[in-house]
Amino acid sequence: MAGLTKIYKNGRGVKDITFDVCTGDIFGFLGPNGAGKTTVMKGITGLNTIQKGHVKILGYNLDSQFENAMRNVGAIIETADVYEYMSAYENLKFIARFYQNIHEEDIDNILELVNLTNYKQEKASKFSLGMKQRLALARALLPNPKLIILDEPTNGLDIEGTVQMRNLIKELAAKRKMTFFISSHLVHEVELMCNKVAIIHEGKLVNNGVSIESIKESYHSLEDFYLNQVTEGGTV
Amino acid sequence: MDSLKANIINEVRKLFLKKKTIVYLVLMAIMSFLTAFFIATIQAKLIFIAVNSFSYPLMLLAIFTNIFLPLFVFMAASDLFSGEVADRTLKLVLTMPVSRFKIYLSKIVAVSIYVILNFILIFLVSMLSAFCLKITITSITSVVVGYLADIIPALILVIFASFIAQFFRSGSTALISSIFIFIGIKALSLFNTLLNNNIFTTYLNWYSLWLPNGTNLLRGLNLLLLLLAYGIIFFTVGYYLFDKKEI
Repeated sequence: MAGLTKIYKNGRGVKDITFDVCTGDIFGFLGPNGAGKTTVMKGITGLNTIQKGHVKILGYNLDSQFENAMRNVGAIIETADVYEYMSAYENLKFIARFYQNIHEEDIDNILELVNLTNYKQEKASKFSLGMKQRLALARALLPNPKLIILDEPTNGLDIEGTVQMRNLIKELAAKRKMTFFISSHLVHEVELMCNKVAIIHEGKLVNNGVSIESIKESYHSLEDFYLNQVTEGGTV
Repeated sequence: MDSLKANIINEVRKLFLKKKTIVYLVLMAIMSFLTAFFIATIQAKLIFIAVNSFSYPLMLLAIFTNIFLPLFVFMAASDLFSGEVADRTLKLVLTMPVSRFKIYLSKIVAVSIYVILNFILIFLVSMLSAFCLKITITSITSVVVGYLADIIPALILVIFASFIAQFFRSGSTALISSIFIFIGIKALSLFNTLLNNNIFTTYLNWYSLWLPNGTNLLRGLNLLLLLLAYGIIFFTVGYYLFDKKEI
Protein backbone atom coordinates (compact mmCIF):
# COMPACT_ATOMS: atom_id res chain seq x y z
CA MET A 1 0.00 0.00 0.00
CA ALA A 2 1.49 3.37 -0.98
CA GLY A 3 0.35 6.84 0.01
CA LEU A 4 -3.18 5.78 1.01
CA THR A 5 -5.12 8.90 1.89
CA LYS A 6 -8.75 9.19 2.87
CA ILE A 7 -10.08 12.31 4.57
CA TYR A 8 -13.73 12.45 5.63
CA LYS A 9 -15.91 15.55 5.49
CA ASN A 10 -15.31 16.18 9.20
CA GLY A 11 -11.57 16.44 8.54
CA ARG A 12 -10.72 13.11 10.14
CA GLY A 13 -9.27 10.19 8.26
CA VAL A 14 -5.86 8.82 7.30
CA LYS A 15 -3.04 10.43 5.39
CA ASP A 16 -0.19 9.01 3.35
CA ILE A 17 -0.25 5.47 4.72
CA THR A 18 2.52 3.37 3.20
CA PHE A 19 3.66 -0.11 4.21
CA ASP A 20 4.17 -3.64 2.88
CA VAL A 21 2.93 -6.86 4.37
CA CYS A 22 5.20 -9.75 3.40
CA THR A 23 4.17 -13.36 2.79
CA GLY A 24 3.97 -15.36 6.01
CA ASP A 25 3.70 -12.31 8.27
CA ILE A 26 1.21 -11.94 11.07
CA PHE A 27 1.23 -8.20 10.70
CA GLY A 28 -0.29 -6.20 13.54
CA PHE A 29 -1.79 -2.79 12.83
CA LEU A 30 -1.85 -1.10 16.20
CA GLY A 31 -3.50 2.15 17.18
CA PRO A 32 -5.98 3.66 19.63
CA ASN A 33 -9.71 3.86 18.88
CA GLY A 34 -10.37 6.46 16.19
CA ALA A 35 -6.78 6.42 14.89
CA GLY A 36 -7.92 5.34 11.42
CA LYS A 37 -7.35 1.56 11.49
CA THR A 38 -10.77 0.65 10.09
CA THR A 39 -10.51 3.38 7.44
CA VAL A 40 -7.29 1.76 6.22
CA MET A 41 -8.87 -1.72 6.41
CA LYS A 42 -11.83 -0.52 4.36
CA GLY A 43 -9.49 1.17 1.89
CA ILE A 44 -7.55 -2.02 1.23
CA THR A 45 -10.69 -4.11 0.71
CA GLY A 46 -12.47 -1.63 -1.55
CA LEU A 47 -15.22 -0.74 0.93
CA ASN A 48 -14.08 2.88 0.92
CA THR A 49 -12.97 4.95 -2.00
CA ILE A 50 -9.50 6.27 -1.35
CA GLN A 51 -8.59 9.77 -2.45
CA LYS A 52 -4.91 9.21 -3.02
CA GLY A 53 -2.49 6.34 -3.20
CA HIS A 54 -2.85 2.78 -4.36
CA VAL A 55 -3.19 -0.71 -2.95
CA LYS A 56 -1.65 -3.83 -4.45
CA ILE A 57 -2.61 -7.28 -3.24
CA LEU A 58 -0.44 -10.18 -4.43
CA GLY A 59 0.64 -8.08 -7.40
CA TYR A 60 -2.86 -7.03 -8.45
CA ASN A 61 -3.96 -3.42 -8.33
CA LEU A 62 -7.08 -3.21 -6.16
CA ASP A 63 -8.61 -0.44 -8.23
CA SER A 64 -8.25 -1.86 -11.71
CA GLN A 65 -8.01 -5.62 -11.00
CA PHE A 66 -10.42 -5.92 -8.08
CA GLU A 67 -11.63 -9.47 -8.73
CA ASN A 68 -8.12 -10.89 -9.13
CA ALA A 69 -6.88 -8.94 -6.11
CA MET A 70 -9.67 -10.19 -3.83
CA ARG A 71 -9.62 -13.80 -5.07
CA ASN A 72 -6.95 -14.69 -2.51
CA VAL A 73 -8.19 -12.51 0.31
CA GLY A 74 -10.43 -13.34 3.26
CA ALA A 75 -11.62 -10.40 5.33
CA ILE A 76 -13.58 -9.48 8.44
CA ILE A 77 -14.01 -5.73 8.55
CA GLU A 78 -15.31 -3.66 11.49
CA THR A 79 -17.66 -6.31 12.94
CA ALA A 80 -17.93 -10.06 12.46
CA ASP A 81 -21.22 -9.97 10.56
CA VAL A 82 -22.90 -12.95 8.94
CA TYR A 83 -26.25 -13.45 7.23
CA GLU A 84 -28.41 -14.06 10.29
CA TYR A 85 -31.31 -15.58 8.34
CA MET A 86 -29.00 -18.20 6.82
CA SER A 87 -27.67 -21.37 8.43
CA ALA A 88 -23.94 -21.76 9.04
CA TYR A 89 -23.83 -24.01 5.96
CA GLU A 90 -25.70 -21.49 3.75
CA ASN A 91 -23.35 -18.72 4.92
CA LEU A 92 -20.38 -20.76 3.74
CA LYS A 93 -22.08 -21.97 0.56
CA PHE A 94 -22.49 -18.28 -0.32
CA ILE A 95 -18.67 -17.98 -0.44
CA ALA A 96 -18.17 -21.37 -2.12
CA ARG A 97 -20.17 -20.29 -5.19
CA PHE A 98 -17.43 -17.79 -6.07
CA TYR A 99 -14.73 -20.47 -6.18
CA GLN A 100 -14.73 -23.55 -8.38
CA ASN A 101 -12.35 -25.51 -6.16
CA ILE A 102 -14.43 -25.43 -2.96
CA HIS A 103 -16.32 -28.67 -2.37
CA GLU A 104 -18.82 -29.84 0.24
CA GLU A 105 -16.08 -31.51 2.30
CA ASP A 106 -14.18 -28.21 2.45
CA ILE A 107 -17.24 -26.64 4.08
CA ASP A 108 -17.40 -29.51 6.58
CA ASN A 109 -13.67 -29.20 7.30
CA ILE A 110 -13.84 -25.49 7.95
CA LEU A 111 -16.87 -25.93 10.22
CA GLU A 112 -14.88 -28.50 12.16
CA LEU A 113 -11.90 -26.15 12.38
CA VAL A 114 -14.02 -23.45 14.04
CA ASN A 115 -15.99 -25.94 16.15
CA LEU A 116 -19.34 -25.35 14.48
CA THR A 117 -19.98 -28.79 12.99
CA ASN A 118 -22.91 -29.44 15.33
CA TYR A 119 -24.54 -26.17 14.29
CA LYS A 120 -24.18 -26.62 10.53
CA GLN A 121 -27.90 -26.35 9.74
CA GLU A 122 -28.75 -23.91 12.54
CA LYS A 123 -29.60 -20.32 11.67
CA ALA A 124 -26.90 -17.80 12.57
CA SER A 125 -29.51 -15.62 14.32
CA LYS A 126 -29.47 -18.20 17.14
CA PHE A 127 -25.69 -18.05 17.53
CA SER A 128 -23.85 -16.38 20.40
CA LEU A 129 -21.40 -13.55 19.61
CA GLY A 130 -18.45 -15.95 19.87
CA MET A 131 -20.10 -18.41 17.48
CA LYS A 132 -20.85 -15.63 14.99
CA GLN A 133 -17.24 -14.52 15.25
CA ARG A 134 -16.09 -18.08 14.49
CA LEU A 135 -18.53 -18.37 11.59
CA ALA A 136 -17.25 -15.07 10.20
CA LEU A 137 -13.70 -16.43 10.49
CA ALA A 138 -14.80 -19.63 8.72
CA ARG A 139 -16.18 -17.47 5.89
CA ALA A 140 -12.84 -15.71 5.60
CA LEU A 141 -10.86 -18.97 5.70
CA LEU A 142 -13.01 -21.13 3.41
CA PRO A 143 -11.36 -20.19 0.08
CA ASN A 144 -7.97 -20.97 1.66
CA PRO A 145 -6.80 -17.41 0.93
CA LYS A 146 -3.19 -16.28 0.96
CA LEU A 147 -4.02 -13.09 2.85
CA ILE A 148 -6.47 -12.70 5.72
CA ILE A 149 -7.48 -9.23 6.84
CA LEU A 150 -9.00 -9.09 10.32
CA ASP A 151 -10.26 -5.91 11.92
CA GLU A 152 -10.19 -6.21 15.72
CA PRO A 153 -10.77 -10.00 15.60
CA THR A 154 -11.02 -10.45 19.37
CA ASN A 155 -13.47 -7.60 19.95
CA GLY A 156 -16.32 -8.72 22.19
CA LEU A 157 -14.84 -12.14 22.86
CA ASP A 158 -14.38 -13.50 26.38
CA ILE A 159 -10.97 -14.67 27.62
CA GLU A 160 -11.42 -18.22 26.38
CA GLY A 161 -12.65 -17.03 22.98
CA THR A 162 -9.74 -14.60 22.69
CA VAL A 163 -7.19 -17.33 23.41
CA GLN A 164 -8.89 -19.70 20.94
CA MET A 165 -8.88 -17.04 18.23
CA ARG A 166 -5.23 -16.18 18.87
CA ASN A 167 -4.15 -19.82 18.77
CA LEU A 168 -6.13 -20.46 15.61
CA ILE A 169 -4.48 -17.53 13.83
CA LYS A 170 -1.00 -18.67 14.88
CA GLU A 171 -1.75 -22.24 13.85
CA LEU A 172 -3.05 -21.19 10.42
CA ALA A 173 -0.05 -18.97 9.80
CA ALA A 174 2.31 -21.79 10.75
CA LYS A 175 0.57 -24.75 9.09
CA ARG A 176 -1.13 -23.21 6.06
CA LYS A 177 1.41 -20.42 5.48
CA MET A 178 -1.34 -17.82 5.51
CA THR A 179 -0.47 -14.15 5.81
CA PHE A 180 -2.46 -12.14 8.36
CA PHE A 181 -3.05 -8.42 8.55
CA ILE A 182 -4.69 -7.72 11.89
CA SER A 183 -5.78 -4.42 13.34
CA SER A 184 -6.10 -3.99 17.08
CA HIS A 185 -6.06 -1.38 19.80
CA LEU A 186 -4.79 -3.95 22.31
CA VAL A 187 -1.00 -3.80 22.67
CA HIS A 188 -0.85 -7.06 24.60
CA GLU A 189 -2.90 -8.87 21.95
CA VAL A 190 -0.64 -7.72 19.12
CA GLU A 191 2.47 -8.62 21.11
CA LEU A 192 1.23 -12.17 21.68
CA MET A 193 -0.14 -12.76 18.20
CA CYS A 194 1.97 -10.89 15.63
CA ASN A 195 5.54 -10.95 14.38
CA LYS A 196 5.50 -7.44 12.91
CA VAL A 197 3.72 -4.27 13.88
CA ALA A 198 2.91 -0.89 12.34
CA ILE A 199 1.55 1.88 14.54
CA ILE A 200 -1.05 4.38 13.45
CA HIS A 201 -1.82 7.47 15.49
CA GLU A 202 -4.23 10.30 14.64
CA GLY A 203 -4.50 9.15 11.03
CA LYS A 204 -0.76 9.01 10.41
CA LEU A 205 1.60 6.09 10.35
CA VAL A 206 4.19 6.30 13.13
CA ASN A 207 6.25 3.43 11.72
CA ASN A 208 5.64 1.16 8.76
CA GLY A 209 6.32 -2.31 10.06
CA VAL A 210 8.88 -3.30 12.68
CA SER A 211 9.64 -6.84 13.83
CA ILE A 212 8.32 -7.50 17.34
CA GLU A 213 11.49 -9.45 18.10
CA SER A 214 13.67 -6.44 17.36
CA ILE A 215 11.37 -4.23 19.44
CA LYS A 216 11.79 -6.56 22.41
CA GLU A 217 15.57 -6.35 22.05
CA SER A 218 15.54 -2.57 22.43
CA TYR A 219 12.51 -2.03 24.64
CA HIS A 220 11.06 -3.77 27.65
CA SER A 221 7.79 -4.48 25.85
CA LEU A 222 5.68 -3.47 22.85
CA GLU A 223 3.81 -1.16 25.20
CA ASP A 224 7.01 0.77 25.96
CA PHE A 225 7.81 0.95 22.26
CA TYR A 226 4.28 2.17 21.50
CA LEU A 227 4.41 4.87 24.15
CA ASN A 228 7.83 5.91 22.97
CA GLN A 229 6.57 6.25 19.42
CA VAL A 230 3.34 8.15 20.07
CA THR A 231 4.18 10.32 23.07
CA GLU A 232 6.96 12.67 23.81
CA GLY A 233 9.39 11.13 26.26
CA GLY A 234 7.52 7.83 26.30
CA THR A 235 4.95 8.78 28.92
CA VAL A 236 1.21 9.39 28.69
CA MET B 1 -18.94 -14.20 -15.92
CA ASP B 2 -18.62 -16.98 -13.33
CA SER B 3 -18.64 -14.48 -10.48
CA LEU B 4 -21.75 -12.82 -11.96
CA LYS B 5 -23.54 -16.17 -12.16
CA ALA B 6 -22.43 -17.04 -8.62
CA ASN B 7 -23.74 -13.77 -7.27
CA ILE B 8 -27.05 -14.01 -9.13
CA ILE B 9 -27.60 -17.40 -7.45
CA ASN B 10 -26.58 -15.90 -4.09
CA GLU B 11 -28.92 -12.93 -4.42
CA VAL B 12 -31.84 -15.12 -5.48
CA ARG B 13 -31.13 -17.45 -2.53
CA LYS B 14 -31.02 -14.45 -0.18
CA LEU B 15 -34.39 -13.26 -1.44
CA PHE B 16 -36.05 -16.66 -1.13
CA LEU B 17 -34.52 -17.51 2.25
CA LYS B 18 -36.60 -14.69 3.68
CA LYS B 19 -40.01 -15.97 4.72
CA LYS B 20 -41.85 -12.85 3.60
CA THR B 21 -40.86 -13.47 -0.04
CA ILE B 22 -42.63 -16.82 -0.06
CA VAL B 23 -45.55 -15.48 2.00
CA TYR B 24 -46.18 -12.72 -0.58
CA LEU B 25 -46.14 -15.26 -3.42
CA VAL B 26 -48.68 -17.44 -1.60
CA LEU B 27 -50.85 -14.40 -0.81
CA MET B 28 -50.80 -13.40 -4.49
CA ALA B 29 -51.92 -16.90 -5.48
CA ILE B 30 -54.76 -16.84 -2.92
CA MET B 31 -55.82 -13.36 -3.97
CA SER B 32 -55.83 -14.37 -7.65
CA PHE B 33 -58.03 -17.37 -6.91
CA LEU B 34 -60.43 -15.35 -4.72
CA THR B 35 -60.82 -12.77 -7.48
CA ALA B 36 -61.72 -15.55 -9.91
CA PHE B 37 -64.15 -17.00 -7.39
CA PHE B 38 -65.77 -13.57 -6.95
CA ILE B 39 -66.13 -13.09 -10.72
CA ALA B 40 -67.58 -16.59 -11.18
CA THR B 41 -70.17 -15.92 -8.45
CA ILE B 42 -71.19 -12.61 -10.00
CA GLN B 43 -71.44 -14.15 -13.45
CA ALA B 44 -73.67 -16.96 -12.14
CA LYS B 45 -76.01 -14.74 -10.16
CA LEU B 46 -76.09 -11.50 -12.12
CA ILE B 47 -75.81 -12.44 -15.75
CA PHE B 48 -76.52 -8.90 -16.94
CA ILE B 49 -73.31 -7.57 -15.41
CA ALA B 50 -70.85 -7.51 -18.25
CA VAL B 51 -67.79 -9.25 -17.00
CA ASN B 52 -66.02 -9.95 -20.22
CA SER B 53 -65.14 -13.60 -19.93
CA PHE B 54 -61.71 -13.57 -21.54
CA SER B 55 -60.62 -10.42 -19.73
CA TYR B 56 -60.45 -12.02 -16.28
CA PRO B 57 -56.71 -12.96 -16.40
CA LEU B 58 -55.97 -9.54 -17.93
CA MET B 59 -58.08 -7.77 -15.33
CA LEU B 60 -56.06 -9.58 -12.69
CA LEU B 61 -52.89 -8.51 -14.49
CA ALA B 62 -54.02 -4.86 -14.36
CA ILE B 63 -54.66 -5.08 -10.60
CA PHE B 64 -51.32 -6.81 -10.07
CA THR B 65 -49.17 -4.46 -12.16
CA ASN B 66 -50.69 -1.28 -10.72
CA ILE B 67 -50.99 -2.17 -7.06
CA PHE B 68 -49.14 -5.29 -5.93
CA LEU B 69 -46.20 -5.32 -8.33
CA PRO B 70 -44.82 -1.91 -7.24
CA LEU B 71 -45.15 -2.98 -3.63
CA PHE B 72 -43.30 -6.29 -4.16
CA VAL B 73 -40.60 -4.67 -6.28
CA PHE B 74 -39.97 -1.90 -3.73
CA MET B 75 -39.84 -4.43 -0.90
CA ALA B 76 -37.38 -6.72 -2.66
CA ALA B 77 -35.15 -3.89 -3.90
CA SER B 78 -35.04 -2.11 -0.54
CA ASP B 79 -34.19 -5.41 1.15
CA LEU B 80 -31.32 -6.27 -1.18
CA PHE B 81 -29.81 -2.78 -1.28
CA SER B 82 -30.61 -0.46 1.66
CA GLY B 83 -31.56 -3.35 3.97
CA GLU B 84 -28.08 -4.82 3.59
CA VAL B 85 -26.45 -1.48 4.33
CA ALA B 86 -28.51 -1.26 7.52
CA ASP B 87 -27.72 -4.77 8.78
CA ARG B 88 -24.06 -4.41 7.70
CA THR B 89 -24.16 -7.43 5.39
CA LEU B 90 -23.52 -5.55 2.15
CA LYS B 91 -19.80 -5.59 2.98
CA LEU B 92 -19.90 -9.41 2.98
CA VAL B 93 -20.45 -9.44 -0.76
CA LEU B 94 -18.40 -6.30 -1.47
CA THR B 95 -15.28 -8.07 -0.16
CA MET B 96 -15.83 -11.06 -2.44
CA PRO B 97 -13.98 -11.45 -5.76
CA VAL B 98 -16.78 -9.84 -7.72
CA SER B 99 -16.91 -6.28 -9.05
CA ARG B 100 -19.46 -3.74 -7.87
CA PHE B 101 -20.97 -3.62 -11.34
CA LYS B 102 -21.67 -7.36 -11.23
CA ILE B 103 -23.08 -7.07 -7.70
CA TYR B 104 -25.42 -4.27 -8.76
CA LEU B 105 -26.47 -6.15 -11.89
CA SER B 106 -26.99 -9.44 -10.03
CA LYS B 107 -29.21 -7.80 -7.41
CA ILE B 108 -31.37 -6.31 -10.17
CA VAL B 109 -31.49 -9.69 -11.93
CA ALA B 110 -32.54 -11.37 -8.65
CA VAL B 111 -35.45 -8.95 -8.13
CA SER B 112 -36.37 -9.36 -11.81
CA ILE B 113 -36.48 -13.15 -11.40
CA TYR B 114 -38.80 -12.67 -8.41
CA VAL B 115 -41.04 -10.38 -10.50
CA ILE B 116 -41.15 -12.84 -13.41
CA LEU B 117 -42.03 -15.64 -10.98
CA ASN B 118 -44.91 -13.49 -9.77
CA PHE B 119 -46.13 -13.05 -13.35
CA ILE B 120 -45.92 -16.80 -14.00
CA LEU B 121 -47.73 -17.56 -10.75
CA ILE B 122 -50.59 -15.13 -11.44
CA PHE B 123 -50.90 -16.38 -15.00
CA LEU B 124 -51.07 -20.02 -13.90
CA VAL B 125 -53.48 -19.36 -11.01
CA SER B 126 -55.76 -17.21 -13.17
CA MET B 127 -55.84 -19.83 -15.94
CA LEU B 128 -56.36 -22.69 -13.48
CA SER B 129 -59.09 -20.88 -11.56
CA ALA B 130 -60.79 -19.93 -14.83
CA PHE B 131 -60.72 -23.61 -15.76
CA CYS B 132 -61.95 -24.83 -12.35
CA LEU B 133 -64.66 -22.17 -12.01
CA LYS B 134 -65.69 -22.51 -15.66
CA ILE B 135 -64.90 -18.92 -16.65
CA THR B 136 -64.44 -19.10 -20.40
CA ILE B 137 -61.34 -17.53 -21.87
CA THR B 138 -61.82 -16.76 -25.53
CA SER B 139 -58.32 -15.72 -26.48
CA ILE B 140 -55.47 -17.40 -24.64
CA THR B 141 -52.98 -15.83 -27.08
CA SER B 142 -54.05 -12.33 -26.03
CA VAL B 143 -53.62 -13.26 -22.39
CA VAL B 144 -50.15 -14.72 -22.98
CA VAL B 145 -49.10 -11.66 -25.02
CA GLY B 146 -50.52 -9.37 -22.32
CA TYR B 147 -48.52 -11.08 -19.57
CA LEU B 148 -45.33 -11.17 -21.65
CA ALA B 149 -45.66 -7.52 -22.67
CA ASP B 150 -46.19 -6.34 -19.11
CA ILE B 151 -42.93 -7.91 -17.95
CA ILE B 152 -40.98 -5.16 -19.77
CA PRO B 153 -42.30 -2.16 -17.78
CA ALA B 154 -42.10 -4.32 -14.64
CA LEU B 155 -38.36 -4.73 -15.20
CA ILE B 156 -37.99 -0.96 -15.68
CA LEU B 157 -39.76 -0.57 -12.34
CA VAL B 158 -37.16 -2.93 -10.80
CA ILE B 159 -34.35 -0.73 -12.13
CA PHE B 160 -36.17 2.36 -10.82
CA ALA B 161 -36.63 0.80 -7.37
CA SER B 162 -32.94 -0.15 -7.26
CA PHE B 163 -32.02 3.43 -8.15
CA ILE B 164 -34.24 4.87 -5.39
CA ALA B 165 -32.80 2.41 -2.84
CA GLN B 166 -29.32 3.91 -3.34
CA PHE B 167 -30.36 7.07 -1.50
CA PHE B 168 -31.17 5.30 1.77
CA ARG B 169 -29.25 3.37 4.39
CA SER B 170 -32.26 1.64 5.91
CA GLY B 171 -34.57 -0.86 4.23
CA SER B 172 -37.77 0.46 5.77
CA THR B 173 -37.00 4.10 4.92
CA ALA B 174 -36.21 3.08 1.34
CA LEU B 175 -39.46 1.11 1.11
CA ILE B 176 -41.67 3.88 2.48
CA SER B 177 -39.94 6.53 0.37
CA SER B 178 -40.24 4.42 -2.79
CA ILE B 179 -43.96 3.96 -2.20
CA PHE B 180 -44.49 7.68 -1.60
CA ILE B 181 -42.42 8.63 -4.65
CA PHE B 182 -44.45 6.18 -6.75
CA ILE B 183 -47.77 7.49 -5.43
CA GLY B 184 -46.52 11.05 -5.92
CA ILE B 185 -45.63 10.40 -9.56
CA LYS B 186 -49.01 8.73 -10.14
CA ALA B 187 -50.87 11.63 -8.49
CA LEU B 188 -48.93 14.26 -10.44
CA SER B 189 -49.61 12.47 -13.71
CA LEU B 190 -53.34 12.77 -13.04
CA PHE B 191 -53.06 16.54 -13.27
CA ASN B 192 -50.36 16.87 -15.88
CA THR B 193 -51.03 15.26 -19.27
CA LEU B 194 -47.50 15.80 -20.51
CA LEU B 195 -46.10 13.99 -17.49
CA ASN B 196 -48.76 11.31 -17.76
CA ASN B 197 -47.81 10.60 -21.40
CA ASN B 198 -44.11 10.47 -20.78
CA ILE B 199 -43.62 8.83 -17.38
CA PHE B 200 -42.94 5.10 -17.27
CA THR B 201 -45.39 4.48 -14.39
CA THR B 202 -48.31 5.13 -16.78
CA TYR B 203 -47.37 2.09 -18.84
CA LEU B 204 -47.10 -0.58 -16.17
CA ASN B 205 -50.06 -2.37 -17.80
CA TRP B 206 -49.50 -1.40 -21.40
CA TYR B 207 -50.71 -4.79 -22.63
CA SER B 208 -53.77 -3.17 -24.22
CA LEU B 209 -51.45 -1.70 -26.87
CA TRP B 210 -50.41 -5.16 -27.92
CA LEU B 211 -53.89 -6.66 -28.17
CA PRO B 212 -55.33 -7.30 -31.65
CA ASN B 213 -58.04 -4.63 -31.35
CA GLY B 214 -55.87 -1.77 -30.25
CA THR B 215 -52.49 -2.54 -31.75
CA ASN B 216 -50.55 0.44 -32.94
CA LEU B 217 -47.08 -0.83 -33.69
CA LEU B 218 -45.49 2.57 -34.09
CA ARG B 219 -46.89 3.78 -30.77
CA GLY B 220 -45.83 0.50 -29.18
CA LEU B 221 -42.29 0.89 -30.50
CA ASN B 222 -42.21 4.50 -29.34
CA LEU B 223 -43.24 3.47 -25.84
CA LEU B 224 -40.75 0.62 -25.81
CA LEU B 225 -37.95 3.07 -26.59
CA LEU B 226 -39.24 5.44 -23.92
CA LEU B 227 -39.21 2.63 -21.35
CA LEU B 228 -35.73 1.54 -22.42
CA ALA B 229 -34.49 5.13 -22.08
CA TYR B 230 -35.83 5.25 -18.51
CA GLY B 231 -34.18 1.90 -17.84
CA ILE B 232 -30.79 3.05 -19.12
CA ILE B 233 -30.91 6.33 -17.18
CA PHE B 234 -31.99 4.73 -13.87
CA PHE B 235 -29.50 1.89 -14.25
CA THR B 236 -26.57 4.20 -15.03
CA VAL B 237 -27.25 6.68 -12.21
CA GLY B 238 -28.14 3.88 -9.78
CA TYR B 239 -24.91 2.03 -10.53
CA TYR B 240 -22.89 5.25 -10.20
CA LEU B 241 -24.34 5.80 -6.71
CA PHE B 242 -23.79 2.15 -5.75
CA ASP B 243 -20.20 2.24 -6.99
CA LYS B 244 -19.45 5.33 -4.89
CA LYS B 245 -21.22 3.97 -1.82
CA GLU B 246 -19.01 3.86 1.27
CA ILE B 247 -19.71 1.15 3.78
